[in-house]
Amino acid sequence: MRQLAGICFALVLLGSFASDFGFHTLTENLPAEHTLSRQAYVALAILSVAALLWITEAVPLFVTSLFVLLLCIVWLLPVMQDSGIDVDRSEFLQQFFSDIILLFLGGFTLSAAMHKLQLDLWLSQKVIAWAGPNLPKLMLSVLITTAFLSMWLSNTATTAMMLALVLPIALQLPTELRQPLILSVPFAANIGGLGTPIGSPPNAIAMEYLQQTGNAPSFLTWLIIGSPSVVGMLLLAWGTLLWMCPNRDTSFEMSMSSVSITPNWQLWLTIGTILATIAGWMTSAFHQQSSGTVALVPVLVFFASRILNVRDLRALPWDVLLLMGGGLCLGTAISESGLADWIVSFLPSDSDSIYWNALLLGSVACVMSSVMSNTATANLIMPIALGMSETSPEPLLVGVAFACTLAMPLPVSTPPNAMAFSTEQISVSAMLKPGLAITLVGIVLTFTLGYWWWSVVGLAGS
Amino acid sequence: MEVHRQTCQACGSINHRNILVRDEKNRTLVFVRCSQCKELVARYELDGYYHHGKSADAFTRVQPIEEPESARSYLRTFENTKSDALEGYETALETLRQADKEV
Repeated sequence: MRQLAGICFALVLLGSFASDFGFHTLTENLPAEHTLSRQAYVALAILSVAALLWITEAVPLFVTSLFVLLLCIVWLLPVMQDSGIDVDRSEFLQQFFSDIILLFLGGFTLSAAMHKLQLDLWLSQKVIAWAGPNLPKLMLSVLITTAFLSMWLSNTATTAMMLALVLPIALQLPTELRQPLILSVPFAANIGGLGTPIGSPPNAIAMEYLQQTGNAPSFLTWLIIGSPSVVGMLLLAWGTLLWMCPNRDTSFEMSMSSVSITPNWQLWLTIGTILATIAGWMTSAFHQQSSGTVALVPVLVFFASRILNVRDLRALPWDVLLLMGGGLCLGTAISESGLADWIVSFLPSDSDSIYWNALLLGSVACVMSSVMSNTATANLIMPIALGMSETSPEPLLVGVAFACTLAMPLPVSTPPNAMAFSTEQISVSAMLKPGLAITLVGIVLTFTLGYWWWSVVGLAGS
Repeated sequence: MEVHRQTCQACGSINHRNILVRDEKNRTLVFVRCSQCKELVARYELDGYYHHGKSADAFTRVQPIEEPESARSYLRTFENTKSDALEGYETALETLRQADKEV
């Protein structure tokens, strides 16, 4: 019923915008210095409808992405061409298979191969077994392992695997110790997403916009930007969760079934391909191939060798790729139509305000991302961030990406949070207190120490 | 809805044991074994697995893991599977009762 209401409301909104009455009502009430062109108005309509559908999830998120594409081609494109703007439908279509989409496809393939051979599970068990029955050490091991895997693999698969390992141990503990141990998994999975461009879709969306401006950091540069944030946030999470534990010396048993991996050619080929791909990403400055091109290597190797089969191909999250593509398509609409300039005309735009604009947009993104999809939030906020600064968009875009990923106060904030909550061992308030603390401190650190570090690394304009 | 009670083809028993397996091809399979004569009755490949009374993490452990679009879609998927399973179960039992079959 709620979904039907959301769809109806979206159609009514679309109809209102589509009428000349809507256009005249909006434009007649604007001051002269904020004139809204017809094509920017259409882009505003598409943005509004997309935002409504993404926030309410009245339809699957990827459906909204395809709806954005449809509206851009059949409505916005003719209006832009009539206005004399040189634009072709391919500019909207190509966003659905850009370099960044290829990069993420490669990342998903790596994740699928590692998971199929249980390499991730084997690694996690080794690290957790090393920690032993010492709660602070175990919690730190879980945090580090989950975050590290989450930097390279699917957050969901990492969380599911780690919860399966941690829950039998956690269930032996009293509630006040059980909850912090379980929470270490989703928080670390979220934090790990900061570390690499493939760690989280908002990172990839930021990279794509930065590539369009010619200022994209390399894979290695993002790793240098993100790794200190990951380390710092993990220590913050560890401290916060330990602070919730009154009796840390409670004894428990490390009950885990061990998994063994068979040292066959599939295993060595998988390990070799993973290492080669990561090396290829890190050295793009030398071989001059984009990260997306390098990402084709694991796709080709794993499927040609039949380590992954066509069922695995169909099981890849194509809807997430479509969601990202739709956001990039919307971004093209917003920038090419002039809507970004119109929105930015209401905001201060001198060079001193880049930091404050980044902080403002980051805060808005964090609030939105706390209650809706991170990727959808990035889709909506990034085009505006790009329009705010033509000369130095990097801190704005990276700041928004970090803010989207750091939002983790509620079960609906991220899929790992939802998975931990659905174990029925965590209450909303038990997640909210540490989650909100980590989110707020994380935002403060991002726009203070993090902002300083970006300038040290050479992120222009920081 | 078409409803059948599975009977063992060897001894006709309707008392079975389910053996759950995740194989090397990442398929989730159920081997149905007759509790009476211990013969293999059937094998199913699972999709939309629901373990009544268990939380969503059990659901995620058994299914091939799919990347959800959002946290809400993950929670919704589990709730839809659960309600679908419970509704289907009640309907199947009622259908068997109406056909005068032992449930």
